[in-house]
Amino acid sequence: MRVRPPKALRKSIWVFHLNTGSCNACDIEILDVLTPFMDAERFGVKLVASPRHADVALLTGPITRETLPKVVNALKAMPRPRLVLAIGACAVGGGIWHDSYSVIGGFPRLKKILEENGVIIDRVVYVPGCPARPEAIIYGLAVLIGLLKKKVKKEVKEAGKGEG
Amino acid sequence: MSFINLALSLALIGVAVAVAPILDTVDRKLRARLHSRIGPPTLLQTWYDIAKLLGKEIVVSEGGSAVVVPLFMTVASALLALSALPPGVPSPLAPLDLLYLIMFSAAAHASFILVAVSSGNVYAVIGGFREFVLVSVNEVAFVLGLTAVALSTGVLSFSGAAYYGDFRPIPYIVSFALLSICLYVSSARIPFDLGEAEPELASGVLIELSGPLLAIGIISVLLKRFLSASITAAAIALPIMRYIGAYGLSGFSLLLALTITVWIIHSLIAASLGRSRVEVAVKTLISLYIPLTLLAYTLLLFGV
Repeated sequence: MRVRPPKALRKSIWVFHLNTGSCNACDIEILDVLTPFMDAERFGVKLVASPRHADVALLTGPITRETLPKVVNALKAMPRPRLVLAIGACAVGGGIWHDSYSVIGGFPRLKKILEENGVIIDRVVYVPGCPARPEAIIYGLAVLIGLLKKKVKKEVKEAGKGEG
Repeated sequence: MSFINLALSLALIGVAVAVAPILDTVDRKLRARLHSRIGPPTLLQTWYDIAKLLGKEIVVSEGGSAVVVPLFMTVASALLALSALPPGVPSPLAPLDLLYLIMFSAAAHASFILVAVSSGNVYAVIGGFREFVLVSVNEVAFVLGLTAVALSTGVLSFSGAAYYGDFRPIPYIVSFALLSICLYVSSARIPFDLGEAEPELASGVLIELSGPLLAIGIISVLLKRFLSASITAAAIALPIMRYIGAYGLSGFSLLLALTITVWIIHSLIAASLGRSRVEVAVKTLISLYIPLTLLAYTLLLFGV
C-alpha cells in the first residue's frame, strides 16, 4: 500500500543522488541545482550521503544491468514514504538506450522489478530532457512533494483515469 | 542546592534543547551568506527537518536495534553535562561540578561512538573509529584545560571560579586558549567533523540511522555542540561575573548571550576552513596541545 507523503516533507526534502549508469550530463545538472547558483537549500532541500536519511532519490540513467542490484538495494534502504524523481530522458524511458541489451530501459521497468521484490515507491515524478534543465528538476521536486500541482491536459487526465 | 540554582539549571537545559536547532540553522544561513546564496528559508529549518524525521519510518539493519540505548545515553549525558555549568549562580552540582562536567562530557562522546559500533553498519564503525581517534586526543587536553582554568582561580570548581578563590589572569588566559581549542574540536565542525564528515564521505556515525532515530542522533550532535559553546561561554563569563557582579538572571542572560556569540564564531571559523585528513588533524592538535598544556601548568606551578 502506498503511503501519502506527509506535509512536513514540503518544508524539508533530503535528497539522495542515485546514478544508475547515466552519461553524467543529468548529474552535472543535479549539481547545478544543489550548488550556490540554483541554491536548492532555499526550498529546504539538502543532499544526504545515505539512502537511510533520504526522502527523495534523484535517479539518473537508464539503469544498466550491472547497477540494477545496487539500485534495488539503495531504494530498498530508503525509509517510507519513498519518493523518486526520475531525471532525464534515460531515467524516464531509457532514452537512446531504450532497446539496448545492457540496460533495463528507464524507471517504469525498474518500478515493476521493485514491486516484484516488495519495494514500493510511494510517488514518482518524471523530469524529461537530455539533459534535464536545473529549473525543470526543481519544478519536478516541487510537484513530487506536493508544493505544485502537476500540469496535465484534460484529455490526458481523462485517458489516464483508471491507470492509477 | 537552592531553588534558584535548580530552576536556572533546568532553564539552561530547556533553552539548549529549544535553541540548538535554531542555532544550527543560523550556522547554515551564515555559510550560505558566505557562499552568496540564500540558504534555508526560515530559522526553524532544522526544527522542520527534525519534525519530518519524527514522522518517517524506522529502518534498522540486522543486529542494529541496540543503537537506541547509546543514542539516548548521548542525549542524557549532554543534558547532564549542561546541568554542571554555572547558569549565573553556582551549579546545583557544585562543588563537584568540574568532576561531573568532565564525566558527563566524556560519557556523551563515548556513547556517541557506541552509536556507531551498535548500529550494525561497517561504514558507521569506520566513522566511529575516526571519532574515537579524535576524541581520545581531545578529551585528555579538555580535562587538562578545564582543570587549569579552574586552578587559575584557586579552587577546583568551575562554578566557584566566579564567586570565590584567588583569580590569576595570566594562567587563566593560557588555560582558556587550550580549553577553547579543545571545545571547538569537540563541537565536531570542519576540519574536526571527522566522525560524521557528511556528505563528502559515505560513512559516519549516523549513516545507518533513519526516521526518529536519526532525529535523536541530530539532536544529540546539536546538544554536544551547544555544550561546547556554553562551556567556552562560561569560561569567558566567569571572570566577567566576578568583576561586574552579574549574578542570578543577569548572569544567566550573560551566559546565554555569550553561548550564542561563541556558536556564531565557531560557525564562521568552520565556514572559512577546509576538511583535513584524520591523521593530519590529530598531529596538528597534539602539536598545539602539548606546548599550551606545559605553559599553563608551568605558570600555575610557579604562581604567576
